[in-house]
This record gives sequence, structure tokens and C-alpha cells, in this order.
Amino acid sequence: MTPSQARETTSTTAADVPGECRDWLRRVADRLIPASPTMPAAGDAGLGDGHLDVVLRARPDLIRDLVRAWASTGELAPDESLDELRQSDPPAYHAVLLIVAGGYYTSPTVRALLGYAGQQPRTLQIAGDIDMDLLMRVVERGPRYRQA
Amino acid sequence: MEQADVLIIGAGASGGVAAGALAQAGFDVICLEQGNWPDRADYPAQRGTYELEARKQWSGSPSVRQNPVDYPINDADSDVAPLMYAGVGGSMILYAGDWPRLLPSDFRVRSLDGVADDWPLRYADLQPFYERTDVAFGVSGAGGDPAYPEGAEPPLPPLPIGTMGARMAHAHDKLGWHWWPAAQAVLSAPYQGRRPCVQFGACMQGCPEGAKASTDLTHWPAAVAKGVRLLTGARVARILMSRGGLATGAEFVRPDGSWHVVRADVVILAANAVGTPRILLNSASPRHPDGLANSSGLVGRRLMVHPFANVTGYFEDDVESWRGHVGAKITCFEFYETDTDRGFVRGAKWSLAPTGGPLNAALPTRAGDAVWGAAHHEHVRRHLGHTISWGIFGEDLPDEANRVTVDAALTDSSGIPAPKITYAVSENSRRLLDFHIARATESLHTAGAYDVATEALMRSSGWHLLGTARMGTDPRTSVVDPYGRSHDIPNLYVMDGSVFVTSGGVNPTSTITALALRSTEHLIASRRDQRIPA
Ligand SMILES: Cc1cc2nc3c(=O)[nH]c(=O)nc-3n(C[C@H](O)[C@H](O)[C@H](O)COP(=O)(O)OP(=O)(O)OC[C@H]3O[C@@H](n4cnc5c(N)ncnc54)[C@H](O)[C@@H]3O)c2cc1C
Ligand code: SF4
Repeated sequence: MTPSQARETTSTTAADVPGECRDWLRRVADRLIPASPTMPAAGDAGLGDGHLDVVLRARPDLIRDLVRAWASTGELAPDESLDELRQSDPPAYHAVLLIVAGGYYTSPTVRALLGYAGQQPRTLQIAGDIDMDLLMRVVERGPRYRQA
Repeated sequence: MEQADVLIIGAGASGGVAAGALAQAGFDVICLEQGNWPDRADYPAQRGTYELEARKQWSGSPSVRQNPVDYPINDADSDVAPLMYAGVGGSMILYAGDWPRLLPSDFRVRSLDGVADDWPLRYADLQPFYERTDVAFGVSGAGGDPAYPEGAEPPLPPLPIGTMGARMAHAHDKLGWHWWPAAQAVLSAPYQGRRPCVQFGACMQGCPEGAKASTDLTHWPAAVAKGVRLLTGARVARILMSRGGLATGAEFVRPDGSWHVVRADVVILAANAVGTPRILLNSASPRHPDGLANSSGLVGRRLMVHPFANVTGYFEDDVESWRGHVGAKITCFEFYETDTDRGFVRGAKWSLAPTGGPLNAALPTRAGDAVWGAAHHEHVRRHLGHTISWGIFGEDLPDEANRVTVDAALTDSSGIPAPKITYAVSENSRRLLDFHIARATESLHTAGAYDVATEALMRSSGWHLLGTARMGTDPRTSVVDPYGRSHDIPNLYVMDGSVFVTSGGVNPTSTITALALRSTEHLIASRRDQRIPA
């Protein structure tokens, strides 16, 4: 089984996450990553507009923990939810953190705001950036290894 | 029933090299590999969710991946979690491609430092094989490194060292310390039909360009074209033996649960330093109650993993530290050799590595803590693109208490008993890492870091699995001879990282593959004297 197949054979899917759970998650997300003068809050940028489904399609293993987190603490205020999860259900707590941060930092809007252009192909400049004077000084300092 | 001259178990780094050399010499070879052919189109590098997938499906840990082709490992009693990959190419599919060699002193630690054991060979014996494997894998680097004896230059020029590499090179120039562009098994230019690196920075989740060398690209296609039969989805449970004490083949299971036997004149184990002792121990029988090839009692013992520390410097300006190949931009061997005034023996090599993307900054797996709430954005801003990490690979001295055994309860998806690892970081290693952390901190401050964070021992760093079937000349104190042949079973060979006598303080795969080539060529050259089952 390839990793992609492993992703697809889980029985729970993103579609099984109820709307109430999504709403709760957005509220919790805003506490974890609130808006700043330059950055949006996570409830808007990372988890809105169907982006939660992108996250959960990539990581369906997190769905069970997410739904459990909501089912057990969804009645509480967001801060209390997080406190309660941290103390009573660390796997669910960490799943919520990963979903929130994962959603936020895979959002194209957030990446653009951060100026992050990772995982993009770029043409290699072969050895163009090595200062040969510095390198020669390493050579001039002489051999470093022990004869053996 | 399938039959062959040679059966290879495991299609990873060493298995690929052995298959290539045997196929070239005209042997009829069959290889059993529990994993599948990797599909480069499936690698996550260019997906937006790359960093999320890297934490699960593309993790280096079989326990995290939980893929049925992996076997689980009980590491509850280990300070370090073992990492590996199952498939054609083996753990090279996920490795970073950092490609240093052992140094001459590494082969002589008993003579020089009075600890552990000398190898039954020297650097000079292995040097020609290093040079040939460099060519076969396509290694990029700069010749003339004064950390090593003279020899052939790497076949390709060095990869870019980037803003961060240049910054640290200047710092080490100021300190008068060694630095050098790192030798990497990653192409800096087109080579033998393969495309060069495009600096995705995603090497540890599979290289979509095929620029990073792994045997599925460099060795297996030619071996298969020459007639080697490579069976994927074929998991070996045990090696079968004749009454006369020779290996006759192996029993294996397919994903559909069907069991099969393959017979061969010679059996080569290339299943890595956890998988190989597991198979030898699982092959126990009333005639071999302690497992196979184990008259020394050393099968599974002396596991070495290179305890790893990480020291991260924070810089005001953007050093583009999410960019480029992941293995190492530059290396430092300044403190590699023993200086007894330091309170420990041996040393470590440093690799300067990028620190990853935004999710890594938010949920750091290396130095640093996650921060939530109002301070979150400032935390990510400080980390992303503004950090440089020295990875410190410390020499791990062999200890018989550090070992691979067969777990009493845990099994893989085929019901075969799974391995258990017992491993504790030694006092020498702890002192060694603490000394190197202090020096790396000095290095980063000299480069202008305004803050430094340390991970004194990274648990998920069991990349380098070594030593569990060591080589030597004395059958009482070693499992295999200097060419990987079992002292007890003359047609059984071990060619993977299990054969290491000591670990050195460098990434091991260039040495694993050079040794595999040397051992295989010796097997080929001595074919007329090879004892085989009737
Ligand atoms: C994330 C990561 C990063 C790394 N980075 C570096 C690096 O930068 N530089 C470096 O030098 N090294 C690195 N390494 C280590 C490197 O990958 C290994 O040293 C090397 O691959 C080991 O070669 P091997 O032949 O001993 O075993 P492997 O390459 O692990 O191959 C063993 C093969 O045997 C198969 N196998 C095991 N048991 C069975 C069985 N019972 N039946 C059938 N098949 C079986 C496995 O599926 C596997 O394919 C890294 C490893 C990891 C996981
Ligand atoms: S950085 Fe280079 S070697 Fe690494 S994944 Fe990208 S192309 Fe491959």
C-alpha cells in the first residue's frame, strides 16, 4: 500500500465532521492563533472556506481525535476546552493543535503574507556561492585527521 | 519454488549495491523486499500539505507511519526511536543524502584511544570502494577537504551552501575552525540520465526529482535489466538451514497471506541493523536455539545509533533557512578527533541543516517550543527563515547491553515476531554531546545569533542503525568476517549496517555501501571456494 492509498482507505472522511464541530474548531482556532495587525486569525484563514477539508484529506487519521475533542469539550468556552483537553486527552489536544496550525500554514493566503515560497523548484547555481578565499584558508590550516 | 544462485533479503542501500555487482558478474539473483517500488509521483514535496504529511504517512518512523509493509518496533526501553523505510531503495528513500566518509581514526579506536575495538580493515582498504560508490550514486562535493586523506574528487561540484552556509563559513573563518561544503549524494548537475536538485527542501519525504541518490534509481533498474528477480511485497520470516549447517534459502509471506520458500546457494542479509538481527533471531530452531550465526552471542548486540543533538541559532536577518537540500550545507570536523582533556573520547561531526517551513516553526520538532495565543505570530516570525541549526552526530561506542531482541508479544501485519530495542545513551556520549553543544553555541554566536536554543538529545533521531552483527577476525567476538561472511554459516553473508565495528561520528551510508561493494566483490572473486548446500 502506498502512502496515498493509506490516506484513502480510512473509514472516516472529512465529510463526517459535523458543522457544529467545525464551528467549535474555528472558535478554538482563533484562541490559538488570533489575528494580529498583519496576520489573520486561524478561524478565518486556515480553517474557513473548505480548507479544513484539505487538511483532513491529507491527514484523515486526525478526524477521530478532532471529533472526540469536540464531543467532550464542545460545550465549554474555547479557552476552557483547550485547558480541559490538555489535561484529560493529550492526543486529542495535540490533534487540535496540529489541525489548526496545519490549516493555517498550508493556507495560500497565510503563506503569501509570510513571504514563504518553500517547496518550489528553482534552478541550481552550481558552486557559485562558495567563497574560495575562505575555503583556501581552511586548507592552509593543514590536515585535521589523525594518521591511522 | 523459486531457486537462485544468490538470495538477497532487503532491497535498500546495501541490497541494491550487492545486487548490482552480482548481476554484473552474471549471477542468478533473487531479492525479497517487504516493501514496494516507490512511486515518485506520490512524494509529497510539492503538495501544499507537505509538512502535515511529513508528520504521518511520510514520517521516518515506522511506528508513526503504521503502514502494513512496515514492521512495528517496541522502542519503549530505548532513549532513541529507530527510523527507517520499507521499499525498493530502503531507508534511502527518506534519508537526507548527507554523504561523509568515516575518517582513518574511526577504524582504529582501540589502538588510538584504548576504547571499543579496531576494525579488521583500514581507511585505505575502503578508499577505492568509497570512490567507486561516489561515482555510482552521483556525489556532489568539493575535493581537498583537509579533514580527509587525499583522494579522488567527488564526481560532481558542490551544491550551493546558501545564505546560511556562507554566514557560518565566515564565523568559522573568524574562529579558525574547520568548515567545508558538505559531500551530498544529491546531484548538482545532470548525471547519468538523472536530473539535478531543484532545492525543494523536502528530501526526507522522497525526492520528486530523483536528484537524491537511492538504489531504486542508481542500482536496481540496471540490476533488474540484467535479470535479477526483485520480488516486492515479500517479507522474510526466517532463513532455512540444511542438516549440514548451510543456509538453503528463506521462507517468506506475501501481502495476501500466502507463504512461500525460495532456495539459494548463498544468502545475503541486507535488511538493516534492526531487520537483520530480527531475521537471524527469528530463525531459531532446536538445532540453533539462539538464532542463526550466533555462536558469539553477539547477534543483535552492540546496537549503535549516533546520539544526536541540535543547536539552533536565531538571527535578526533573513537567512532563508527553509531553502535547499536538507542533508547538510557545510560540515565541521573541528572537534572530531579525541582530546582527553575534554573528559570523553572520540568526537562528532556537525552538519548545517535548514530548519524547515512554517509548520515546523509553529510546532518545532527541533529546538524551540510551540507558542499559542497573542505571542504566536512573533514566535513564528523569529523562527521561520531566521534560524540556523547545527546537527551534531556523536560517535556512539558499542555496548553489548544496547541491543535488538525479538519482542515476546508484538508482531508485524503477517504475524511475524517484531523487534524490540533496548538502548541507553552512555556517559561518554552525554559528555561528548554537552561539549559539542557548547562549541556549536559559540559558533552560532560568532555568526551573529542573538539567541540559541538546544535540543540536547533528539529522541526521533534513530536514522543510523549499526553494529548488531559486527565484523571481525575472531569468531568468539564477532558475527561475520571482514567480508561479511558468517563465521558459523559459510554461505550466509551480512552486508548492511549491522557489520559496523564502531560507529564513527558521521552519517553511515557511504560506508555501508562501500563495504557492501567490497564484500560482494570478494564473494564474487572467491566463488570457486564457496561452500554451497548439496
Ligand atoms: C529519515 C532518515 C534520514 C537519513 N539520513 C541519512 C543521511 O543523510 N546520510 C546517511 O548516511 N544516512 C542517512 N540515513 C540512514 C540511511 O538511510 C541508512 O544508513 C541506509 O539506508 C541503511 O542501509 P541498509 O542497507 O543497512 O538498510 P535499508 O536501506 O534500511 O534497507 C533495508 C531493506 O530491507 C527490507 N527488509 C527488512 N526486513 C525485511 C524482511 N524481513 N523481509 C524482506 N525485506 C525486509 C526493508 O524493507 C528495507 O527496504 C537516514 C535514514 C532515515 C530513515
Ligand atoms: S532539495 Fe534537491 S534532493 Fe532534496 S528533494 Fe528537492 S530536488 Fe530532491
